[in-house]
Amino acid sequence: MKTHKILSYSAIILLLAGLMFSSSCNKLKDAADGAKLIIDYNLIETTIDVQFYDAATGELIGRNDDMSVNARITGRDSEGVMDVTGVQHQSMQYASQRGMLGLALLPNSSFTPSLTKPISFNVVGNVPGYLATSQKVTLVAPGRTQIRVNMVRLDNPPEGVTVSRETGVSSAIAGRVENPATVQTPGGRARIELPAGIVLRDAGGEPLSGSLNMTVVHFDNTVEEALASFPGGLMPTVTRSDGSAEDGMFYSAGFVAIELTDASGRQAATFEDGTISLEAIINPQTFNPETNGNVAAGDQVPLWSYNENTGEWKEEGVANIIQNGGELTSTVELTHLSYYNFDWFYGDYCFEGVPFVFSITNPTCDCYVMQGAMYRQIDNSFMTYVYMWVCGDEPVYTQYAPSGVPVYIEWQDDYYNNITIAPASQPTLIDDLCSGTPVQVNVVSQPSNGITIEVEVYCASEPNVIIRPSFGAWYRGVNDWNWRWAEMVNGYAEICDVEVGQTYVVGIYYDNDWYETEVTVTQESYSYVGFELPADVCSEVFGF
Amino acid sequence: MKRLIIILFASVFGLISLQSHAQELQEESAYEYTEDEIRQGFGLGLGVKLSTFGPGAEIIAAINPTFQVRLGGTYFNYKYTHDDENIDVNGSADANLSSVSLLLNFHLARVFFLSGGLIYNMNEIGLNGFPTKTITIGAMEVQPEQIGSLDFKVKPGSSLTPYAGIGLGRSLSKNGVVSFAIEAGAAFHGKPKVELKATGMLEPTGSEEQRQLLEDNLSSFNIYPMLNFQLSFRFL
Repeated sequence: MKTHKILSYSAIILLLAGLMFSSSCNKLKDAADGAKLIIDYNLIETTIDVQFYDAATGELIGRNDDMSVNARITGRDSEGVMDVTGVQHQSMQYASQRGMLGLALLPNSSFTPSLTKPISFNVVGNVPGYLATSQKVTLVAPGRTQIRVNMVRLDNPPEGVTVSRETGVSSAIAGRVENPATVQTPGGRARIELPAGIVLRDAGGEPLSGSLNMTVVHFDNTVEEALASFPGGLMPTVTRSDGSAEDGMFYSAGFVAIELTDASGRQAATFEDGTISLEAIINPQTFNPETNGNVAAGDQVPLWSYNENTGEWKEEGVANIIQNGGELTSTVELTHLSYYNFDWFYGDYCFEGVPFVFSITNPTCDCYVMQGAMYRQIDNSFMTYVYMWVCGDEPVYTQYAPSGVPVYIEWQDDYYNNITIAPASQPTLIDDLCSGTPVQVNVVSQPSNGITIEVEVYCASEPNVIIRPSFGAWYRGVNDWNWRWAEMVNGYAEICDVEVGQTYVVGIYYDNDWYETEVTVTQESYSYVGFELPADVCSEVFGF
Repeated sequence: MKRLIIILFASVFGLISLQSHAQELQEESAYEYTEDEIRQGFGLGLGVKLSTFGPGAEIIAAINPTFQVRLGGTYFNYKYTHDDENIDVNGSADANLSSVSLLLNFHLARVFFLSGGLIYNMNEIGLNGFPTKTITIGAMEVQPEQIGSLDFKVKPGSSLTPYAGIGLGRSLSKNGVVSFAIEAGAAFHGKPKVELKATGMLEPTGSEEQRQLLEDNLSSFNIYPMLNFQLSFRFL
């Protein structure tokens, strides 16, 4: 009886203990349900957002996802450039998506930009049907930089750009041109004379063969649209005749791009047994900085060649300007084929220029971009586009600014953020971008509301690993074409002036691809966006 | 889990078997205590125990053969450190089991008792993980300190936890010196508290939302099971 009691009590105790342990272990097993490994992908300190625009239409190239600009990174610090996800392609070639390209500098490396060690490289853009071009990028501090590259569509050039595309202008056998040919742009702005007997070879030394096609493009330096789409920009690094490199600014007298190809697409780069003659009309309204007046017959202008494949400029000598009938012209004999530029070149820069202080009537909900175009005061000539990322009252310092050159900036209103420029600040005059005297710009804004967008990216194979990106995100109204930029930190972006109930397209550039999704803003303060990355990106970037 | 239960069964039955040979049990045959027995029930003793709160000791005061007051404490700490340079992620697990308890035993029968009281529960389980190697993301070399570390701790929801249990044997011998008791029960410590901290790139993992999620997942784990084996010595 006693033993029976003991066994009964024991059984009760053990049953109770067993149930408790068993229950507890089951709960522990489920403890991590729903928990995720969330990674702040905030490694990159310097981003460069590149936008490729059609110079004539002002639209992003490939905004309908119908084409992509091949962007090759060249120049001194090209090895420090990668795309914004951290992927660096061996070929240093990247593809734009919707006309946009997200680049970055290798973090924690010798490619951290500073005043003592500026980082410089070229973005060379190529897309079928457009003239190849490049833009020099110089950075002296980490942070965000935005650059605009205007590209000339050959069948729809902007004002001031004339194009002649002729097929079968001559033919070549083993590189030797059989018949002479002359090609000139409309209005005779630029004329190329190809003599018979000259031997054409491509960059690899292979002779051209068969029917020859020639494209000649002339840029009028007195037309702003043409200057703004000047291949290589107007503030380049050049290689002098003695081989030294020099930073400076062009005072342009015109630009001519020449492309000569055979039937198989081989492009002429060098030639022998002769020269090719280039004659260009010089606009008499051209400002000659050496005389501080308009150009005149008898003036000389330096000649520069531009390698459209690398974005490099090289000093080629001096061209004489003569009176030719009713026009000022300059004729040069070319010893190799590339793009040619008639420009005076002056180089004096400061890496950190004057601080700009933006005084705004109503604080915006987030930082905003101030866009504008910079012109020289002395000849009203376009110099460069200006992008400034303004956060509150923090001053914005100009980088790599030309010294001692009076300029003015015409700002662009930002209708999406309800930001306009006060008349007193339009344009903003600056006597010297390197003087150190702060420049105040008065901005008129309407009270704005912002929402927080939470952006997460993930891989299907690892759904419990969430990546919170820290780079730029783009958004636009679903019926709008203009992308607006928002800075994303740890997956969160504050964006201004979106309307509850409206649908927006939110996109991010990621490893040569574009990911976008539509978001209908349903709350006044918060929206969530999730992007699933393709398997190949997950594997390449994160090893999932 | 099954293995654990089998081991527990085997252990407990083994001890029960030993206990069945104990002098105290052999002497007990009647359910009703005599007045003499009640008078003899006053006593004081010291016990050592091994429980799910760790090893410990108790002072046991018998008011009479039916009621005993127990003041005890336990402490157990175990730390496992995984330190292998060949592994990408190292870390440590730290289990700290400790308590101070004040319990009252009520003997329903000579060897069967109910126990209840309060336990000051200082249990804490911690896990820590950190990378040891530089990893490559795309073209970027990411140092371990940039990646960061993850710390996870679980504590009882309430430090002062009520306890109830049932037991077999005696915490303090009625007439002899040595006694033995086993006891099973539950400490109701409430919803466990979770601490989650992350640094570096992992910092968002330690967000309040994540911490709350883990706490919610563990919320039904509000009972800490007690299994106690105790050997006591009566000295008064």
